[in-house]
Amino acid sequence: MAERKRKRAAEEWERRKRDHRRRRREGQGKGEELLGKRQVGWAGDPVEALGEVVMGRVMELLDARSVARCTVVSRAWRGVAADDRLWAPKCAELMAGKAHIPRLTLIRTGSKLSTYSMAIMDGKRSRITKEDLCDHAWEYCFTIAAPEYWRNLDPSWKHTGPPMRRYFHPDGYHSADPHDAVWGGHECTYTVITSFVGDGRIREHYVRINRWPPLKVSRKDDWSWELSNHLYRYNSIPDADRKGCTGPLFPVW
Amino acid sequence: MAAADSCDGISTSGGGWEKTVTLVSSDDARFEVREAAASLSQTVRRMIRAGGDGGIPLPKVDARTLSTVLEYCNKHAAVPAPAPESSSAEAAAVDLEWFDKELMHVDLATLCSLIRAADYLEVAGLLDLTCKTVADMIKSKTAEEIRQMFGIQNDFTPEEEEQLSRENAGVFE
Repeated sequence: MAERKRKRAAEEWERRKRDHRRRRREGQGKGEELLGKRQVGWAGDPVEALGEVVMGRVMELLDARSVARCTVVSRAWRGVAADDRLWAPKCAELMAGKAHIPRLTLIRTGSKLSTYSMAIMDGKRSRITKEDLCDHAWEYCFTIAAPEYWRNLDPSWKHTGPPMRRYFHPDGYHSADPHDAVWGGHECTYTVITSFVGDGRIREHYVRINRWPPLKVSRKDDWSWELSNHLYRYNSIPDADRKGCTGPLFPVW
Repeated sequence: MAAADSCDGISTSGGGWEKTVTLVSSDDARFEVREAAASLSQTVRRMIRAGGDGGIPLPKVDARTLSTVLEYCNKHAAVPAPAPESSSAEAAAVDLEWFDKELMHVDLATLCSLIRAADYLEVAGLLDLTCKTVADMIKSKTAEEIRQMFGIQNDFTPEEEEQLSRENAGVFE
């Protein structure tokens, strides 16, 4: 008795499976036909059909750029795609492993989406400001092109100690640690030079210490800065865990 | 728990007996399923624990969708857990992946009802799978392409849309 019942159940299951496969094949054919045209059957907008919670789950699986595009599809989509809960982890992921966190990201009024966007923009900025110079310490070393006399005084060349450090101060002075072999003890100032051409584009941008050769400004993938000329190089020291972050509190382009 | 408690059951490939439960869809179709498979749904699992007679009613899922969900559950519950490095484990994983891929060859309407069913039944694996499928459809598409795909009306004014794109220019590039 039980045996027969079990057999029936198994047959029923097989039948349903076959049925389903057939239906699915048919559905598939139909689906292909519909692709390209508007999808009939999909209850219109997935945000309406699936609800915001499920749609939020879908967007969690997307990269930042794809989610950003979703924010301008429609108001309903923006409601889901611009949500802080979606962007907070993306922000965290973006900042992880970066040398400096832009001070801009501290602005409270901004949504996490705008924080993310500002951080990306700021990370691409290669125009350095006084804040960027003053907010962290810098490692200083000579290049191979520097005269041997200077290289011999540089502990990172001679492997006699940690690299030398340099500091920029808001009042325009530049300084080193005490007992720095290279530091002559003389007065030392810095300037940031930015020159523009007519249409507002930057023509020249460099940092200059005293009247010494200009330092070209460049940026690395981890948002750290490098100032360099043919003789020496400054590298900003990572300080991502520093309270209050670094850099200007306004967008600089 | 009538169905589960009785000696009723379908035979497994190993020849042993397994407990089964009966699930009833919104359109009154009855499905007899191994309890191990049905328990992939947290909703059903809770209902099994709570007990009840004459099968578990699932008023939010129709027969067609439920049969697909159960197909998924049966396949995924059937996978044994052999040693992770063994070749059979690898083959099983490939097989399962292939099965999942095949299962997602559906039209949008079916996909939509599958997602709702997986959400309601709390079948985590299936919800992930279906959400991933939708995500892959959206991925790397422009806003206009997304609107076209789903037939969505753009309710932003051109000025608003431009301002929104400008505001978050950093992420769009």
